[in-house]
Amino acid sequence: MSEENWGNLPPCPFNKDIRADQSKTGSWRSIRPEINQGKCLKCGLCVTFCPEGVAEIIDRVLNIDYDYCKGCGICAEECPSHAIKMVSEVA
Amino acid sequence: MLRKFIEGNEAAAYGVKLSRANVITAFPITPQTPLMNKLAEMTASGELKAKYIRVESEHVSMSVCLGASAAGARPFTASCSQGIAFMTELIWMASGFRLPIVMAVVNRSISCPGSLAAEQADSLLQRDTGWIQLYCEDGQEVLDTIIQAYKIGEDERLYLPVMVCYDGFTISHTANTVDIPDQAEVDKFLPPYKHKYIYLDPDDPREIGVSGPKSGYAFETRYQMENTIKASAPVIEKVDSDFRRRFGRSYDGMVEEYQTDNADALLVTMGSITGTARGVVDKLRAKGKRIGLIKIRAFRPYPSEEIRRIAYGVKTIGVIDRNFSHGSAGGGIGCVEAGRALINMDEHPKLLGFVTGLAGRNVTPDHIQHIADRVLKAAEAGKVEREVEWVGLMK
Repeated sequence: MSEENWGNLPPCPFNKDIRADQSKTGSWRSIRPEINQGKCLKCGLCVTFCPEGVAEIIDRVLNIDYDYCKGCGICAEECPSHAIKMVSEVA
Repeated sequence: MLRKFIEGNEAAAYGVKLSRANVITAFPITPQTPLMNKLAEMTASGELKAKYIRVESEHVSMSVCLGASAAGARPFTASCSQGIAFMTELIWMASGFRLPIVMAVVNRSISCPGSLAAEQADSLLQRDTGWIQLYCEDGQEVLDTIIQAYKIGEDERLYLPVMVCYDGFTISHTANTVDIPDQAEVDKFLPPYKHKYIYLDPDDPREIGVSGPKSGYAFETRYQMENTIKASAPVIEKVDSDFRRRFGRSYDGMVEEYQTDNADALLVTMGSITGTARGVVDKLRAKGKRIGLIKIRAFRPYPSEEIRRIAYGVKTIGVIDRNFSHGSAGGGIGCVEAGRALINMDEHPKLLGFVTGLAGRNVTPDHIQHIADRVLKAAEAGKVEREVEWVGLMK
């Protein structure tokens, strides 16, 4: 590729063919949060602290969206009842 | 049309109002504060219909401008000095995302050591970001340039952000008579903003700032940016000449030539020093000295072609920099840049660099006279005795 023939870029760095939510950032994860629903108090601290907004409590059950969870471990660190454990993605 | 006796910051506020900016992000910093105060007043009274957002830092200020511009608003912000330095990360995003944000930079000295007063290093440190940079000489030019800046940045061939820079206190806090155009006339000049390619919609999330049809095109995207900012030069010229046709005022687009006919020696200035230099050049011309002046209005894109054309047949050029570049090849940022523009001419003028007016030190006609004498003397002698001189230091 040279200065005379340098690709076929759209006029602005914006791609209508790719939705932002198609980029599954969960694939970056090396450790994953595992929930012990029995220990979970449904206090919602993990929901508040999650920087990605992937933790939510639906019908008194904590749910984590693993498509976008990057495995930072903040939820496990903040959980007062130690209901979340970080485990290796690779056994 | 209305004529008012107002300070540069207020003139800027009128420019913003007439441009119908509808998202204002405000974080105060001297000497920008009166501009944001005026915009707050205008928004509170309903005179300006805008969302006025008091952000918690300059970093957030530019972040909000990015979102607003992508969502289809016409944002405005202003800062300087440490504020610009803190904002830097987002300044790169604005140009990279190709969002036509307009920001006023009320040029102020950068720490450490610093002062609250004028110096252009703050905006010049952002010269490589892909923003267009326009420098103003007085309040009228500030008002007019803000309106022009939206028109330039929002041109669908460009979509580039624009900095409108003017010296702190010397321009921002000094009053002069300013003609304020009618809103109806400005509306005819500057149509409502709609980005042709980018949108921000929570129901249809898209990635902004991706590097091409597929990943890995960041190098090509940079090259595209280079071509785009170069293509902004004729747009800047055209917008300024269209402005003259409608409002009767013009700033000669990229650069203004002053008394350059048959000149042996030229001074190069940017910002408020230009006015002082005009007076000195007039005095010297009256004495028969062949000296002229180039006022750089657009530092980005740099007007290399114009400078070469004006410099043809000239013996010496003295670049007056109200900024510094520690340990540079010689002189301030403007001097180094001019050197690159001139070097491949068949016969290029000799170059002298003058650093002056840092941290708001007053630049008097005597200082400019001293600089002009040096440049004329070098033209006569055919050689440069001192490549760089700092003018106006205290004993």
